[in-house]
Amino acid sequence: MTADRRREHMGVRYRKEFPCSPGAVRAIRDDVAAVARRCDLAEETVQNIRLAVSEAATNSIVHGRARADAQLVVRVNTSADELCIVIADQGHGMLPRDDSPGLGLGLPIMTSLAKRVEVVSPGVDGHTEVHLYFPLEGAQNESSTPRKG
Amino acid sequence: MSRRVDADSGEEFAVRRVTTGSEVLIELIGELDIAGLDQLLDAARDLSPACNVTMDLSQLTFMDSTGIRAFMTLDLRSRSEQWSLTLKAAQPQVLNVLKVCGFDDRFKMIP
Repeated sequence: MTADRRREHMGVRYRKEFPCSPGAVRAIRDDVAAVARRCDLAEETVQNIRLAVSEAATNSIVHGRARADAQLVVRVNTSADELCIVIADQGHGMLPRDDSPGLGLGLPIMTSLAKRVEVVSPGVDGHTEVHLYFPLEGAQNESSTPRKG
Repeated sequence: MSRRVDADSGEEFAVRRVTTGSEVLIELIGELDIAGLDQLLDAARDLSPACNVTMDLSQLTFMDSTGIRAFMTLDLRSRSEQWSLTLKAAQPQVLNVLKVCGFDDRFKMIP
């Protein structure tokens, strides 16, 4: 990516609220993938982003249903060399739970696909946030081949 | 020999089950995530002992760990209920998820 092209992408921002329900997962990953494509990321990386976002959104839905009207907030920001995807829920964090419906694979998948993953609790407005970072072109090959979990 | 066709199409994900005698074909179509989990597990209810279940993944274009959870559930059920489970024609994205999670040799798979 040229310096001009990179500057053009800086500040690409996306923010949208979704109902905290299973039906929102596909819309979230499709929306974030569209932002990633606008940043000229390779399709393989876009597919890795779709999977990581699907896992993060699923975790947020499983852990974030604190209220019947709970919302997920999805944000995407870019810096000079990174795409940062934030999925925030109104739950109580990614704590172990006896009634978890999953196999505990979500976080390992996210960490194997993204350059780094941060779980911030409390984040903005007291929400639990999952931050997924993917390198923009130049360093993107680092995350294009998943690491086996 | 009975032949039963059950189709259950959601907006994002669809499951089609075809039963021909002891052969049960379950086709997964579209993108499988948490929204489609119950749909898939419902399609795999009432399986008789000794039946052969083939899960056709050729039209499954996306799957997250929800799919692995479903396959694990069905694999465990197949062992306790004495029926067989085979995954067929998994596409690259699905194979990638299985590999990332270390489950690529956990299930019986055919091309």
